[in-house]
Amino acid sequence: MKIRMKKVIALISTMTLTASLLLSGCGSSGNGNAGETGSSTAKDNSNTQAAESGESSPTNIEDLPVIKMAAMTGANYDDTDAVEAEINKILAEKVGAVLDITWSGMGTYKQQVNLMLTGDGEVDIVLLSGVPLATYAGNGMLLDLTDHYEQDPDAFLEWLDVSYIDSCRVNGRLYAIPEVINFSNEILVHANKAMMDDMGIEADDSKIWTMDEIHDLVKQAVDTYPDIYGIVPQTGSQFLAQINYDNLGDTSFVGVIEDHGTTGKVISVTECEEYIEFSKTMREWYQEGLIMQDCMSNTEAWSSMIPSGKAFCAFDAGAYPDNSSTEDTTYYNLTIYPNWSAANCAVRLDYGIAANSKNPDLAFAVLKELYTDADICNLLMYGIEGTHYQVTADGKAAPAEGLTLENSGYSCGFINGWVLPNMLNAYPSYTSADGFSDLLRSYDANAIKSGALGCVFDSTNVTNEYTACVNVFEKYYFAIMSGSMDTESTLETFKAELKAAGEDVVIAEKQAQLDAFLTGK
Amino acid sequence: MKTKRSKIRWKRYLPLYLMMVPGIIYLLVNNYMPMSGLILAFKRFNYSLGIWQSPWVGLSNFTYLFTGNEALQIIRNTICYNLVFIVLGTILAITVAILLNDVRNVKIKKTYQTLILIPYLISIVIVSYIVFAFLSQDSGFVNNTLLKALGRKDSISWYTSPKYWPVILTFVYLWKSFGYNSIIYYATIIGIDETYFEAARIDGATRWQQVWYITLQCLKPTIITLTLLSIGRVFYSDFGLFYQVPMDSGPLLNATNTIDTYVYRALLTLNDVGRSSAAGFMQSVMGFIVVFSANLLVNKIDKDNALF
Repeated sequence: MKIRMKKVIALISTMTLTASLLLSGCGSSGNGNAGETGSSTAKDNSNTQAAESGESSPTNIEDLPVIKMAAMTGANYDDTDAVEAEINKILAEKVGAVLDITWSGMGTYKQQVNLMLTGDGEVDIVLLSGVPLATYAGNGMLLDLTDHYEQDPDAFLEWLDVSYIDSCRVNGRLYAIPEVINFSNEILVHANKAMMDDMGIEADDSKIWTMDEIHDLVKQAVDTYPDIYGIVPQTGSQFLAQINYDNLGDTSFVGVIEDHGTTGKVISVTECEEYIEFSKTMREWYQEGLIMQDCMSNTEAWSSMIPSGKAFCAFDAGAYPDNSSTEDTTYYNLTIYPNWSAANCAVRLDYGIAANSKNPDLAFAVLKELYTDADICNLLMYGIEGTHYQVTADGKAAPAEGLTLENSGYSCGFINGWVLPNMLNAYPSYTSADGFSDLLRSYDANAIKSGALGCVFDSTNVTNEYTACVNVFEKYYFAIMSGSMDTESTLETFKAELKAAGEDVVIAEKQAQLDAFLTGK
Repeated sequence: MKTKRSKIRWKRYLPLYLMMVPGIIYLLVNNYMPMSGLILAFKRFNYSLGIWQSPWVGLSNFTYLFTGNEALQIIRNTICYNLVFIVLGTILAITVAILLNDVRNVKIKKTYQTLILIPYLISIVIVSYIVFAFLSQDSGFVNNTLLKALGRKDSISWYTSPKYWPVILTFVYLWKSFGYNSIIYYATIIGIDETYFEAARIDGATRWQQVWYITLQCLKPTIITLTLLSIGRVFYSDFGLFYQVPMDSGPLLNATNTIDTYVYRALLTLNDVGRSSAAGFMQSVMGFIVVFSANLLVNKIDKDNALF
């Protein structure tokens, strides 16, 4: 009997297992269908939506369809719900939908978005920050926006150059809209302001600093303040992402193009003169004690170490068109190399729509408002006028009376407005120079342009070799750059291991994609 | 007649079977249902098509695990670390358990029991910072106090020298896990009939002989079961130990990269569900094979102690 009981249990478990298999099977295939019908009803939807907005009947906001948006934030704000309610008043009238924003911290944003995109209709509008767009599009995670966009391209072209928008195309189809933001970065050093002032060193905004000058500066700082770190990494163990070589958006630098991507030839990063030179210099500096000795196990970003006085400076890439160093900032920006636009400059931060969005048409309509409606942009940036911010006499946004950035219920735009779709469609921040928007545009216009601007590498065809190379890159790229390891010998190992991992295959593929891009241009 | 008796038995054992239900449900939901997802290992997953509609790609998701020298090194790391952990971990845990059993003062015994368990309860992220406090180049205890006291002038850059890490990781693993394993062995030891030891003492057995001929003999089934279970996980690695403790330092990867961390790094940005499932699938299949063969071996040598 005991044996029979065992059999019964075995049978039951098998049945449950099979049932669960079947059920999950039905569920998923159901989803597939839902996706298809979703897109077909979406087309009908656009008509009803037009009808709705035509009537502009004051329907109850709670009954309107909800468009969910994933956004990134550097801080937690208490009043996000109030700000959202204000935005929804405008959206309800203009689009007939309401917005529900989920804010995630920067550290976990990528994982959060991955989870949301895998879910079923958990998110509509997503901020894509440094993700491989081609992979996401190929995976079927993102909605093809081409048809939506082409109904009214001018709404976006008013803010964005067509070449930037075209960067977000994969096989000719548009999968995202770039943020309206800077499209070029300079390589610079953030230097602690208090220490600079204390040492009596002028930080002339227009000056281009040489590496020798930076060396002497850091040396002086380390001698004056023995207990601080001289140079700290950009973030974590990442010393400095890249200098003036182009990677076509490949964050693992398997194959780079020298001289701002103008040579047209993809070479191994281990043969890139600029990378080698920089690394050698850093090795000397490291041995002199100018660089944080623990930088390979560092977990802090410069942005917390420099203001707190723990470190003197850090290399970084960034856009400072107004070169503003107001009283609020804690560091000077010392330019080393002038600003340039990398090939992927328009795909670093962009907004897309999830492929499994339940309301793709409405989602796009909302997204369009987020770019084009100045009131919404201001709300997203600074919160509610009067409560969170005030407009100063010279037309800039400043925290409302009695508020600071720390105690304000909403201060996203003052701290990191670059996470939002269109920061230029709002008041400039009180910390920025007069005519900031024009400054930024001329800054970008005068930037050195990558020879491959708009060409973004897609690793799909060479995934096996690429994954192996990523692993080698993780080992040596930043370790060499930060000077923590012997340059010559480590470079040799780096080179040999990359070769063994199949770097040549990836470089050939990258070259082929670049050639195709350049001929098609 | 027979059916009647079995009915009575059925009734008598019913409560026991009912007690089994929550466990079985847990197993089904947690371990068996997700198995249907294994199918992903053979597909190029497309989010908009879903699991079942995505196209088949055969074994191509597996190939990246075996391309280049990296793969070999990673599999080697995973297995070697696990074997060292199993051998040293078991020896240490049993030693501590036997010592613990010989502590006569109840209060002290309880204190020890608690103390050795504490490392097991510490989050691995905190452990990684404890290790960092020892090994940091700027302010670490080893470089700035210990090595200086020993008269060494230049400091060792621990986080860029892979050669030290097999020892460091093994040490951290043992420190963190020995308490928990000791408690399991200790529980078996206190279950050993005291009369065996009495008889042995009367026959003049030394302490060492008592341990060898009684304690270890009685522990054998537990040791075999626990070892077989850990052998089943020989292709897996503790992600926290291998990712957090070395602070994700690149130059250490030759010594710290295991299958799990490799897959994590390789697919973090690519978001390739098919390939990660393939890695998991391979780990389970290999684990299954290893457990099966190990059990076969135990079966040959000592049939009573085999798992199945």
